Order: sequence, then structure tokens, then C-alpha cells
Amino acid sequence: MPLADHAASVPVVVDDAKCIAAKGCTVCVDVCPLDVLAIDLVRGSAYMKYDECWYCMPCEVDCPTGAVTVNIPYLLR
Amino acid sequence: MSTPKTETLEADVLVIGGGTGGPMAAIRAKQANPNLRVVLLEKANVKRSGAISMGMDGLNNAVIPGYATPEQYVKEITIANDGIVHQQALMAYANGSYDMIRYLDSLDVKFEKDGAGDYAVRKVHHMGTYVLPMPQGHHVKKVLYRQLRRLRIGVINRYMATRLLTTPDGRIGGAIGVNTRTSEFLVIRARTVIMACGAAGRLGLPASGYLFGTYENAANCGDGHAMAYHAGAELANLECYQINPLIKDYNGPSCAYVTGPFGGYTANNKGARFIECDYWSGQMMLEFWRELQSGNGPVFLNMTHLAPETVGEIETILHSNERPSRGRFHAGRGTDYRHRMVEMHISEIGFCAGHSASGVWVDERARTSVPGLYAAGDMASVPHNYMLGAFVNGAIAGEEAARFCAEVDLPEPDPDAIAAEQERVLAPTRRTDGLTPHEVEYKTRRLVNDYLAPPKITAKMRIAQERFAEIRDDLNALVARDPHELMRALEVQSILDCADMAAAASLYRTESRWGFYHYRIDHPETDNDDWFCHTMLFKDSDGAMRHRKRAIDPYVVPVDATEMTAYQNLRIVPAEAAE
Amino acid sequence: MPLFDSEPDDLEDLGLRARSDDAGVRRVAMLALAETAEPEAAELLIAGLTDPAAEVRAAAAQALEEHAGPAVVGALVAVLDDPDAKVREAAAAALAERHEPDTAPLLIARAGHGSAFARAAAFRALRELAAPGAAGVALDALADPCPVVRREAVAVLGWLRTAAAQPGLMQTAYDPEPEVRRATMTALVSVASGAPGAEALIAGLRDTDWRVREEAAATIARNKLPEAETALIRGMGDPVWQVRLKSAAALGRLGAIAALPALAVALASEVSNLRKEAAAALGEIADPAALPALRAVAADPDPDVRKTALWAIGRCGG
Repeated sequence: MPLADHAASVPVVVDDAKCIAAKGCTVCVDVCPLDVLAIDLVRGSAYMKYDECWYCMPCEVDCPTGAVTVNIPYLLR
Repeated sequence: MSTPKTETLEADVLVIGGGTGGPMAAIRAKQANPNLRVVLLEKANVKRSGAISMGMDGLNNAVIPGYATPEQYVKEITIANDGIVHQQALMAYANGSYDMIRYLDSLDVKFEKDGAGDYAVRKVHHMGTYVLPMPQGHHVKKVLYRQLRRLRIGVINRYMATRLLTTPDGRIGGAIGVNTRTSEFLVIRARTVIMACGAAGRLGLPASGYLFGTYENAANCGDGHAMAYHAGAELANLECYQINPLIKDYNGPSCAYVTGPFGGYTANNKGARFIECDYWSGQMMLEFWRELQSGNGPVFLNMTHLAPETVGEIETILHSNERPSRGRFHAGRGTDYRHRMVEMHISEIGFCAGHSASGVWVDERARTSVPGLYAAGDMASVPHNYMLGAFVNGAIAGEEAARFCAEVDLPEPDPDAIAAEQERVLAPTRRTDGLTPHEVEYKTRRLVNDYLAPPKITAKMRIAQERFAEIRDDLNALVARDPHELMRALEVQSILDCADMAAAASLYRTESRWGFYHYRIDHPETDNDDWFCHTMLFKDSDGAMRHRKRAIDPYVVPVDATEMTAYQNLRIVPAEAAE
Repeated sequence: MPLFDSEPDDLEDLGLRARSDDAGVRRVAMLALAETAEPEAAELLIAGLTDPAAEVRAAAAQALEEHAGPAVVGALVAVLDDPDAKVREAAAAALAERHEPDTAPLLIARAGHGSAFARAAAFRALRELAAPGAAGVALDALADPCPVVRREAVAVLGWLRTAAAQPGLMQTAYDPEPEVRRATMTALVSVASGAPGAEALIAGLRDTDWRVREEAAATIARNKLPEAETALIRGMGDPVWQVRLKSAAALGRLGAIAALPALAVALASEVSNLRKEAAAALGEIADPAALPALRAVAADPDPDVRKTALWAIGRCGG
């Protein structure tokens, strides 16, 4: 069967102004147990690439600049 | 994707899973013999992987001299599991419990201590004192990681093990893994393998409908159970599901362990208690379920009667360890423990020995039925072992594997088996259209909820098996567009294997046992004459799923008949009826 | 294969980044230096503690938590007075995270000097070391103007279990801050019957703060102080059930026959935890006079209370 691309709201929000991915930081991407975060090389910041979040928070807690916020996924809220 | 390259690595001890038991197994194997090549393979990153990625708020099963004896502990867990336990393994855990606490303490894991520096043990368990809080338990993973670095244990992150390798004579030979970001292949030849892959936590679908809103870390999807099965290992008592009372929708633990000693309790919609012991057991879950069915639901966790200072203390613990997003969830709904009870619900089903009893069969030396293969933690069959059990049994596995290494040579891998596995793994990458891992997973898990969740009904479970067989055909249409999707495509195959095992195991045991965990409508009574035994599930040489009974080994701690019923008397008797 | 064994190469690169002109790059390098156990990494991080950029110093202090040795502890102690709060807090957290006995002198030296923040941080790190050499500075700090320092000093003395601390702790038992008094009640753990500290514990049972009263009762139970019996029986009428519960446990340990009526009242409490504790205390006391009250809860709705009551009835000869 052919595939469709779904849009989904994602629970993890990254503040581009605070994110220091451009300086070489990959902390949030490294610690995610589900590997759902990635670095946008053009914007120079991290973002949530896959909507597969356990809202466990290492990305937020370990971020050295406080750029990451984990929200509760909408379906649970 | 083009065919990715394959690397080969040799190890004396290969540990699969870097959560709780895995790192400890690696540490102990290395300490037992620093010359051993110990490799730790992790699907995520050891820094923050597994059930305790954010830490843990306490030990539920600490056997500390002066508070509980190993004999008391073994007896209690035997009773809580309706007698179906391998007591030797419980005793091995209980005997190692205190030494492990002191070892963790020496590594700077923070346990609660009183003003004189002694452990501040508290009571929650039905009959003994086994709770040791860890108000600063968010550091556990950091401590483990530090120790792995100090011992220079080889860590390979972001590789998912897909199958175990075995020798023609049935011994373990290593494992095959695939990189979750590049799909590169890794063949690890190993003298011994320790599996610590966690629970099968993505089996049922949470009530929220969000695939990853599971009780267990969603990375723990039963890879270990499936790999062990395909390698010919036996799995024990899989019909004894994990089902837990959780915060409705949030799906995190309601934490009677934390709130109980402070005076919190489970209540119905009248605010009244209906169970007196919040210790998680199948019988407790049965009462919980009945209350939900009775019209007295929903069920709540009540802390509204507690002093504000006490609630503040509880919040500090609950909102900084294990599942810290809990505070955010409550805030979103305007729930303040001081003024409003917290709505609770029944979790999805899973396999998890940490909280219930089922998993890959291991004996008191963490040995599976495959020589050279060990298992520990949530995926191994030692009941109610929680975080501390994962550490203790992981340590046992590490020491045993180190010893076994000296007796065996490094097996030659079978190139045909590797090629076949490569073909199976990469198949979804060779398609451009078909079915996505998400939809196959959703459907499988939705059917698990519809047909396998208790109360268990024979006719429904048979339908489940038919539907699972159809999905198994659908796996030939799975499509993965990138390495990440390939990881999910492989995971859904493990999930389907576990779903099949849950159905088959539940049908095999034709009685009811463990309260709600194996509550069969067609066989409502406990039948000790026929079923006072372990049930073992395994893959036959013809590739079919088979079962056998395994007799319970003679108890090392006798339990008399009156004690055996202690957990069957959990419902509060109304005052007039009690007289 | 990216194993830890491949670290030395990374270290060279990290050294370059740690000296970059860009503070952001230096900061990320500091964080990465936490990942390696090599001594060179600790040296780079110690140098990072004097970086002109506060965020680099804070990252260095945080990363030093992963490194060991007197040089590391000495460097962290030195930045407890850093002008930037983030740096100070990261250093304090790193010092409290681990305990290396040979670093006690460095912390002791800091405990009498510097800011209140530095003193409190030094005592917090000293507590788990239980270093006898810390007793002197801790006793001095019982008169510290900052309550947090006094509380941390009390905790250090509690872990040391030294009789020499008793006179000082008898002062802090009446400290204006409830947190200091509460810490004192747990720290009075080495007080024996007849010792002057017993009086402070008994006074604690009448404290205005219930958590102080609760701790006092718990320590009295632990130390088995018979002179507290009357005060404990009075404690069975405390408005807070947690205090009643700890008092009941203490009376049980003391075998206080005079407490039978008060414990019998507690058997009828709405709080099942308290009923159970009262039944257990009556079992400890083991006096047949308790039998009628215990028989009344032998059919308690709470299975735990029933079980304890049955055990207690057996102990009382029923």
C-alpha cells in the first residue's frame, strides 16, 4: 500500500535562542532513550523528529542551557 | 537503503542491555576477572537507558539485617506469588541484597539515612519492613555510568541486538546487532551472553491510546524475551502478566510505596478504603478491578488528609525521581494532592518480573536453559525483584559468566545464520510501500487489549491467536524508510512474538492464579493438584511454540497453609460483617 | 567501534575545544570532559573553573563531579565563593555527590571560613565522611548566624555519634529554627538513659512543631530512655497521629505497663497504621491486662492490624 505522511504535535519543545547545538552540543539527542530527537543542521538547534515520547525528561534535565521543555503528549493531557 | 557494512567483534562476556542489571553484570564480570573482554551493548545510551533512566525513589525489597531476614523475605514473596516460585533464586537475591545496598552506597548512590547515618528503612510490604527511600535517587544512572568508565568497560550505544547466535550443540555463541542510526550490522562472537533487556512493556496499549505512553520505559518492548525464545531458551509463567495500578492517563506509578508510609492510601469514589495493603500483587489488582467494575469506581490515591508538610515531602520525592513529568501532568489538570484525590486506573498488560513473576527462566545462578546464556532484571523469572533485584541478579550473572568463560572457547559463528538474520532484519528497508511499523504495532497492541487482557476468556484468546497469525503474514509488507523506522519495525516483531507467547501461555494454564494476573473465566478456581508448577514455554526444534510443566523445587523456607492465604484477604470487611 | 577505549584521541580534540575563543564551544567541551576518566580531563576541568565566562565555570564544576581526588575537591572548594550562583551551586552539588575520606581536611578548612553558602556546602559534604576531625568546626558552627549552617553542622555531629557533641546539641534543641531542632532530635542518637541529652529529647516531645515531636519520639524509642515514659504517654494524646504512632512504638520498646490505657485508646483510632502500631506495642509490653482491648481488634477490618493483634494476644498469654 502507498504511504501517507501524517502531521503530529510533538511534546518536546526546544528554545532555539538557548540551544547550543551549533557549538557542538548533542546532550539531549544522546540521552533520549527512544532516540526521537535530532539536530537541525541548518537552524543549528535540536528538535523532536519522531512523535514517540515517553515524557521521561532526561533531555530537559540534562540540557546545559535549559533550552528543552518536555510537555505531556496531548493524548494524555 | 543499500546493504550496510558488517563489523565483527569478539567478547568474553557480552551484556545486552545497559539499564540496571546490565551495567551491574558488566561491572561484576570485569571485577571478577579484569582480563576479560566485557562488552555492554545498549539500544539507547547507557547514560539514560532502561527502567530507571531518571532514577528511582526507593527500594521496595531491601533485606536489611535488623529489619527483615532472608527467610522472611523468601516466605513473603512465595506467598505473594501463590507458591509458584523458585525459592532458591529468591534466597540468592535475599542473601545478596544487603551487600548490594552497601556496594551501591560505596559508589555514592544516595539512600535515605537518619540523623546518625543509619538506613531509614520503612514499612509498606504486607508483613515485613523492606522499604528504603531514596529521596535523591535521581543519580543512580550517573553512578553506574561512572563505574563503567572507571573500569573501562566497552560500551556500544545505539546498537539493537536482534538475535542471539548459538552453536550446533545448543550453546550460546554471541549476538547480532544493528545500529539504530545507520543500520550497520554488528556480529559479536562471545563466550557468554548476559541478557538484561528489561520488561516487555509495549505489549498492551495504554488507555490513552498513545503508543509510547506505557508504564515501562517504552524502549523495553520485549526484545529480550523474543531473542531468548528464538535461541531456544525456556520462558516461565508468562501467563502471570504484569498489571499495575497507575495514575489514569499519565500511566506512571501511583506510588503507594512512597505515599503509604506517609499515610496515603487507595480509595474508591466514596473516599473509602477498599484494600488494606497497597503492596502490588495479583490479588490486590483483582480487588482494584472489581472496585472499578462495581460502580464504586474510579479508584483514587488519597493524600488529602495529610499534613501540608508531609504532602510537600511526598511531592519532592515523586516529582524529582523515576517519573518527574508527573508533577507537570497533575499541574495541567489542576490536581493538588492536598485538595484532590488522584484518579488511578489499571495499566496495560506486560511481562515484567520486576513487578510480577514471569520471564526468561533463570535459576539461582542467573542461568537460563541455554548454556552460557544468563538473564537478569525485569526480563528474567525471579519474581518481584524490582531495581535492587536487577542489581543483585545482574551481579550474580556477571560473576557466573566470568567463571563460565574459563571453561569454554570462543564459538565460530555460523555464516548462514548471520546471512539469514541480515536478510530478515533488512527486509523492511527493501520495500518502498507497504505497512508502517506504527500501524502494525498499534493493531497488534489493540488486539492484545481486546482479547488478552484479563479477565481471560478462552474463546477470545483463540481469536487473538488467529488475528496474530494474520499480522505475522503482514510482517512481509513492513516498510522502513530510515534506520530509526527499521528499529521500530524490528521492535514490532518482538512485540508480536510476545503477544503470541502471552496468548499461548495463558491458554496452557487451565486454572486461575495470581489474582487478576491470570484470572480465567472458564477456569475460575485455583487447581493445585494439576497446576502447582511452573509452566515453561519454548520453541521446539521444528520451530513450533511448545509448553511443559516444571515441578517446583523443594522449598528452602517452608510455608504453612494458613500463611499461604495472607494475600487472599485484602478486601476490607465492613465493620458489621467483621463482628 | 565507539568503545570507551578509544578515549585518548577524543581527549586531544577536547583539549583544543576547551581552549577555544568561543565560550560556547568551551562550555560544551567542559561537559564532554565529564565523559572520560583520564586524569588529563580533570586538569582541563580544573583550569575551566577559572574561565572568565561563568557558564564555562559552572559546566566545569558540574563535570568535576565525575572526577576524583584531592586536587579536584580542593579546586571545587575554592569556587564555593564564586561570584556566580550557578558556579557555587554546581560546586556544592559536586562536593555533596561523593565521599572521599582523604578530602576531609580540605572541607574542614572551609567550614570555618567564607560565605554561609560555602560553610553549609562544606558541612553537607563532610556529613557522609563522618570524619572525627570535623567535630571541632561543627561544634563551633552550632552558633553560626545562618540556620542552614547550624542544621548541617548538627547533621555532621549526628553522623559522628560523639558524646562530646551532646552539650552543643542540647543548645540547638532549643534553636529558634524548627529545622535545626528537628535535625538535633535525630542527631541525639547516642544519648543514653540518665545522660543530660535525654532531657532535651523529652523537651522535644513538647515542641511547637509536630515534626520535631515526631523525631524526638523516634529517637527516644531507639535509645530506650525510660525517663521519657510519662512524656510519651502524654504524647499519646498528641493532635498529630504520626506523633502518637512514634510515641506508641517507643512505649512498646520501653515495656511501659503504665501506657496500657493510652495504647488501648489508640487501638480504636481511625488510622489503621496507628492501630497496628498500638497493637504491636501492647504485644511488646506483653501484659495480660491488655487482652480485652486486643481481642476487640482481633477482627479489625485491616488484615495487618488483625495479624499484629493476634501476635500480641499470643504474647500476652491469651
